[in-house]
Amino acid sequence: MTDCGKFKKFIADKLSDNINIIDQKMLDEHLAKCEECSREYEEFRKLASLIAEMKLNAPQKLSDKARELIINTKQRRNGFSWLRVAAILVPICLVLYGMLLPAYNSARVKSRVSGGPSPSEGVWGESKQVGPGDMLMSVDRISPATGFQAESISSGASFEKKPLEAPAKSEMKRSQSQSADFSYRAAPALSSASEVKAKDSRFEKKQTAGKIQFDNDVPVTETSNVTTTQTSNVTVDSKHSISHEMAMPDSPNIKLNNSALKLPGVMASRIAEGNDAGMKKDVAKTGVDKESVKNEEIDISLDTDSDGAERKREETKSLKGRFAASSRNELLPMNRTLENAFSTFSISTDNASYVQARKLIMDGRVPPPEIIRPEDFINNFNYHYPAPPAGETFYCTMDSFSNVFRTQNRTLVVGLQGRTLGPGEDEKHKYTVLLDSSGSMAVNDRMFSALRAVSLLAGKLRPGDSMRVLVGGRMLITGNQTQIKNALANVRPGGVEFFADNLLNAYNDAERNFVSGARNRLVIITDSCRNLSPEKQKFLLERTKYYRKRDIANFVLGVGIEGDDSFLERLAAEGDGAFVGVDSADELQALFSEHFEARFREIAREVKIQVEFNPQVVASWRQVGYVKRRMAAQDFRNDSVDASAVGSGQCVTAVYELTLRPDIASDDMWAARTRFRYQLPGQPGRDEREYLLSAADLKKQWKDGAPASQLAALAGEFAESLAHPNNSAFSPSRVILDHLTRLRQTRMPEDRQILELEEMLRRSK
Amino acid sequence: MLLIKNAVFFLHVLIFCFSARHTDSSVIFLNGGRVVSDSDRIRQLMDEHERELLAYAYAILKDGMLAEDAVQHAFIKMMSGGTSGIASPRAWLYKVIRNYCFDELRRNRLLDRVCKLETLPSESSDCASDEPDKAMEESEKYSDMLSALNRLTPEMREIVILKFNQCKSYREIAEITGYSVSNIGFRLHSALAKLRSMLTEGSL
Repeated sequence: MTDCGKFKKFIADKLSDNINIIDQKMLDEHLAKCEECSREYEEFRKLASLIAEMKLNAPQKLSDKARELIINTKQRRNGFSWLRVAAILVPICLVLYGMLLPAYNSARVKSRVSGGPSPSEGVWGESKQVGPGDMLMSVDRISPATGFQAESISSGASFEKKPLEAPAKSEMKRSQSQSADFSYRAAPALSSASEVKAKDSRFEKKQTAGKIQFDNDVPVTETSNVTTTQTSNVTVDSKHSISHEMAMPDSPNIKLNNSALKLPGVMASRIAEGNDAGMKKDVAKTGVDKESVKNEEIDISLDTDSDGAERKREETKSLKGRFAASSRNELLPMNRTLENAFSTFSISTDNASYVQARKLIMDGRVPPPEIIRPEDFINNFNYHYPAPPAGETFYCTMDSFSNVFRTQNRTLVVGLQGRTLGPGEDEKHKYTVLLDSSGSMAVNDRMFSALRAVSLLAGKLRPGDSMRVLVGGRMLITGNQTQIKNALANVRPGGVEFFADNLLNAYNDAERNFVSGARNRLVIITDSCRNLSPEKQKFLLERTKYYRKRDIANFVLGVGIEGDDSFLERLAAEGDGAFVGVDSADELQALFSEHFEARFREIAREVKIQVEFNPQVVASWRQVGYVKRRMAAQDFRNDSVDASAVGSGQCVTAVYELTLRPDIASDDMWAARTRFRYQLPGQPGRDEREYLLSAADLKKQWKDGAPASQLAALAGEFAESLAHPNNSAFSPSRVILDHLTRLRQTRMPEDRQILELEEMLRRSK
Repeated sequence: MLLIKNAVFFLHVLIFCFSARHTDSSVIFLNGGRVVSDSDRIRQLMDEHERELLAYAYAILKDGMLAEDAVQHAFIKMMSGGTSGIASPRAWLYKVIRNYCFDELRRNRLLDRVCKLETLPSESSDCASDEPDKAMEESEKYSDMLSALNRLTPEMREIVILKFNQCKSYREIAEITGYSVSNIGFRLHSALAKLRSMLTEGSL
């Protein structure tokens, strides 16, 4: 009687023949004792057998008409066909080839005279996607004499020790711009005077931001940490014990390691081999290139195992811990701090990429890599950072801990929390709504959602606010709430519309009816905009910029977005707005209730962030996402370069991955410096704040990181694994899911968004 | 000579690139060495699974026509998107049908109240005429159960029918519904408890 509750499940399990022997035995004993439960079991058994007997009147097969309809459905081709591209490209290539060949050959002759490698080899090295197996080849072939590298040397940066970075061309272009950034380091902005200021602001940080602790509990230096791990790994191999638990702080890793110990003999000896290699490598101080190339070779021998061994390979990887992972780093586009210490970007608060990917994953499909923007994934979550102190607009947190996927790396999470506006502080608003009513809006209730969005927005109008609604290119609705809501009842989707014309009309209308002293905003509600030529897109973006200068911001609401949405993203970025996707009624409701303040009431505009890394502490770094939002370091203080706005109570998060130098001189040195620059609404000048992170703060382990920062790191990793499905540096969703589940169970409140992310991870296994 | 050699090499590279890319994104794939197009594949899937899928949709929606709509919707979706990105077509179809059915119920809340589950009319009418009492008894026996099932929430009805009427394993149910395997036992138990309470209420 006392613990009948725990047998309830067993009863159902037993009825379904899904019970193990031990549970069955316990249940039988209990049923013998407990009258109530045995009666319940008996009744349930009867119910179950009755249900089993029933023959339900379900249709037996699809009607012929339905079958016909299904078979005759046309395939929808969103993506472009390679055949078509090939048909265009092949003639072009041939023509170009014919034209360029003579010049090409003469260059070949010349380079032979100078003793460099032949250009054709150079072309190979540059244009090929370099996978792990090709690493050796490309090292040999990209020598300093190839065309591009010669160019960058002449522009003033040194590239001799450039690591084996894979996707060659674009990567190299970036490093060209890095050399420009490099020169910026010498700019007067960073004179000794600003150093003094930096120190001051660090004290300020200690006082105001009690959250960032100087973590001196772990006095182990980075190098000594390495040695402990080594020895413990050796004991694993010889004794098959789990004594390395202390050295490996992350419990997920331990779990994997245990199972890795059960590998057959061949595999185990391979692990030992790998460890030896790793040790050698570390003894020889990783800087020596040839040694690391050798290690690479051993890794490759592991990699070439058959598919069945793939799982085991992953486990050996985590067993090898930081050694194996260091070879993964070469698959990541790391920036060397010596060459480029600045990461500068405009903030982003979009989430549309996340919403679109979620829809695809929930449908059981794999989202195409090009629609993934990691910053949308990271910023989809509310991290609830501490509120800023009185009088400040932002609170900045910097949290760093060991990277849970590539354990020798560090993760740095930079978070900005905006203040919440009080009720009386708001400016007036004037909304111009452009409602797309083209035929595609008729699909899947999109029009319904769009109309609902307009009426919800109308419901948010306060005295002094005004609103005009343009439906496609035809109809204009204006007036008070009720008038708008009534007029919306007559709107029907249909027909072909020219998005470009409508957009220009709407901007025009917004300008003609400009309300001075209010925030003028164009709200664009659409499902997609394909069929715009690149020239037209460029033109529209230019016009958007023009209107932005005239204080008309925009906001793009995507209802049921499908396919390429990069234009809408650019449109929102250029137009000082956000690109938000919704695909359910609940989300729409949430956008106009709890998220309304964050989306439509701004606390700061033109918000840019610059993170500077100290080359004496940080060896290399890379930023997760924000690819299109990045800007040159000198543009940080250039106010003619636009950036995005932050709404009331909104937070913005950026995630970095760092590798540290092995020889950090002192824990008191600063490691990273975050500056942000913003404009308060209605004020001409800009404000700038600066926060520092000391080298001691970088010592934290994964488990010591704040839960919010960990969530950001996991979301970022997931997005990147979707964006680079073939890059083995990123972890499979199974591993991310493990970490996320553990994080939620131990350190997070039950949150709908986290459960949703878990579900996505589960489905994209 | 060099020119021709280079040109041939270049062409080979081009052809290789495009052929490799093409097979990646193509919707045609091999099935036991035989090239099968999407429509053949979907025809085959329909033949194999339509019955269980219809029964499943019927369990949730309680209406034959609507169930057929749901299954048709799923197949059309598969057809229009291509089968290339789908690992397990059966599980995919179940998922799409499940989403569709629950969306449908959410969209039209009356649906759940209006539609009623039915048993198959007795197979041989002769049998009924011979022993009318027995046929009556038969339908009587199920009618309480049916009305109780009708009043169950769609989620509960789904799981009960999947388990006891269609005899799916926990694993299959977990795959279809997205609940975890260990959770299904609890859900089944609470559904059965609800059924029992409805039936005893009705008889009182």
